[in-house]
Amino acid sequence: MPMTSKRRTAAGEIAHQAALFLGALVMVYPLIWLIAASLKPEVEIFSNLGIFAERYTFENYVNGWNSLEVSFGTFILNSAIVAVLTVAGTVLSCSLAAFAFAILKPRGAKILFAVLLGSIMLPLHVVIIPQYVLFNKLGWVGSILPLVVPKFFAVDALFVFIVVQFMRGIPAALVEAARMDGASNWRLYRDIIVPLSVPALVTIGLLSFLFAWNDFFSQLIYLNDVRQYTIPVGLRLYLDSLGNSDFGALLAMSTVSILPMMLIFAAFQRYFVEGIATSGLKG
Amino acid sequence: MGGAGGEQARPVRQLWLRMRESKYLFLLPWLIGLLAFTLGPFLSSLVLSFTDYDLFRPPNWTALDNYVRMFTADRRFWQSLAVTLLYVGVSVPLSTAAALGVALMLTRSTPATYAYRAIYYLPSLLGGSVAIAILWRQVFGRDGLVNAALALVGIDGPTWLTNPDYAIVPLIVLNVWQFGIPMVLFIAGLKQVPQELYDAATIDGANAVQRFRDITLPMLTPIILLSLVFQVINSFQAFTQAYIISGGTGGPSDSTLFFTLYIYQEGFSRFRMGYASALSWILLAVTALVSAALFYFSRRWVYYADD
Repeated sequence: MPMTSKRRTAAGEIAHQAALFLGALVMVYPLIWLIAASLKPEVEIFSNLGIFAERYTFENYVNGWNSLEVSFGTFILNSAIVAVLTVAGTVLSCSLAAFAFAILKPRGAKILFAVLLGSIMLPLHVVIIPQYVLFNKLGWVGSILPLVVPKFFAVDALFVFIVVQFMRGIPAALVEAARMDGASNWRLYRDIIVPLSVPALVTIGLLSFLFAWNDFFSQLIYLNDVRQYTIPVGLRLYLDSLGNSDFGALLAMSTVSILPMMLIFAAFQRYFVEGIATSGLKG
Repeated sequence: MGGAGGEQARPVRQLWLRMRESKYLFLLPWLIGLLAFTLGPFLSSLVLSFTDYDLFRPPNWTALDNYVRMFTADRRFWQSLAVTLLYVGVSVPLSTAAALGVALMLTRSTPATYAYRAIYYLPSLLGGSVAIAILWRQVFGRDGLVNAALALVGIDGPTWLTNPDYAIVPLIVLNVWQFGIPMVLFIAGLKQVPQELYDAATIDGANAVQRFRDITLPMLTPIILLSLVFQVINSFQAFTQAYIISGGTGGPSDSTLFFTLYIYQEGFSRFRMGYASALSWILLAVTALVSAALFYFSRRWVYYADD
């Protein structure tokens, strides 16, 4: 490793550690401040930019939860429904396509794979207008269907690519052995390849969950009834209606909305910090 | 062939069995998705860009009108292009540099290193959310965290969000704050540099700076290129932060009018779907052009071990 040279001096080591610590502090301070501020009484949020307050209270959470015509719980529930359907659709459809690209390799797969790679680079905004027109014709605008149905058709090409890269690493001998035993394509998929691909499937499951949880653009254009609102569009409504009048409630609900992501990150940290890197680099 | 009624079930069943085993069946969901939600819309948006479609009336073919108007008579088009290029041009190099610097400090395999990696990575997971954009309005507010920090060193910070000269800064900082993804890529790349190269260089008397310049950096250049391309593509598509921080306007004085925000305003607020489609093709062209330029000039600085 380049930085573990034995020649590192004590002074260098101290500078190294100090830089890392200060950098980390700057990086997370806004997040810590957000959580602390959401627990402070309204008057203290702007007068006190530190983390410590004279007293902490949950009143911002209580006020924020019910300050609109629908409770924040509705937004959480809607976001959870969209996210869970997104994960299910993504994992199912991407694993099927990746299985075909990496293991079955039907005639023409190479050309189709080139098309897949090209579509990774395509900006969403180039397809969003005709997509909207299509969903409008189908009568789906104003429902969650435009957000989740495409996920069952592997529209996130990057996720197919990640799983293909992983499946290519599965030893060919395993596939051949299953074939010798007379396994059909479906049995090969279900009993051999999918169980062995769990790490890659968890990675794309987590990423698609977080993308769905954070996605604002699609939810903004497709959802138009407040009872269908997900967290991102719900928060925007808070911002518009509360503005600076009840900043505590706004910060409290912002904290609530990122808490699930922080918990998921804490639980599956390895998949993010190690997983993405390796899946993106191989091949 | 044309057997009795009772046998008709067999060919149907055989066809079903063959279909069920077809390799293409596994590709079918993706293929349908590609045609219906990606390739089809991709081509339709090109066609729509030559029309005056407004979602309610049938489109009229207007040939190059949209593009001519865009280039000759639309000040906001040029403004949004300039804002976006400034945003991408400043934040991508900065976040790459930050990612590289921190990655170099986090190559060891100690528990503390793992904890630091997680901490530095966390903002890139949360940074795209509406919640963080709301937080950013406070961080860069008149009496927010940034100005409080500046006051400590005697600087009287500007009103970031309402001054057109400074309004882009919070958005750039927010993008740079999310350098965790390239950082993780660089750490993985650093692990693949063969230790023998460093050992040999040390024996030859190379110091730390020389080892970095002549070994680490060249070996990392392919990953730096990859990360630059991905960051450029992503940054051109930035939307949420500018929308939330400016309240959907791209203000003050269009100083945060990201290209995607302009597409949104034209397409989904004013329902000029034809014009918005034309804009989206310009976005595609600019993104492709910048990516192609990165690849083209990469020959001068990217090192491939097998050359």
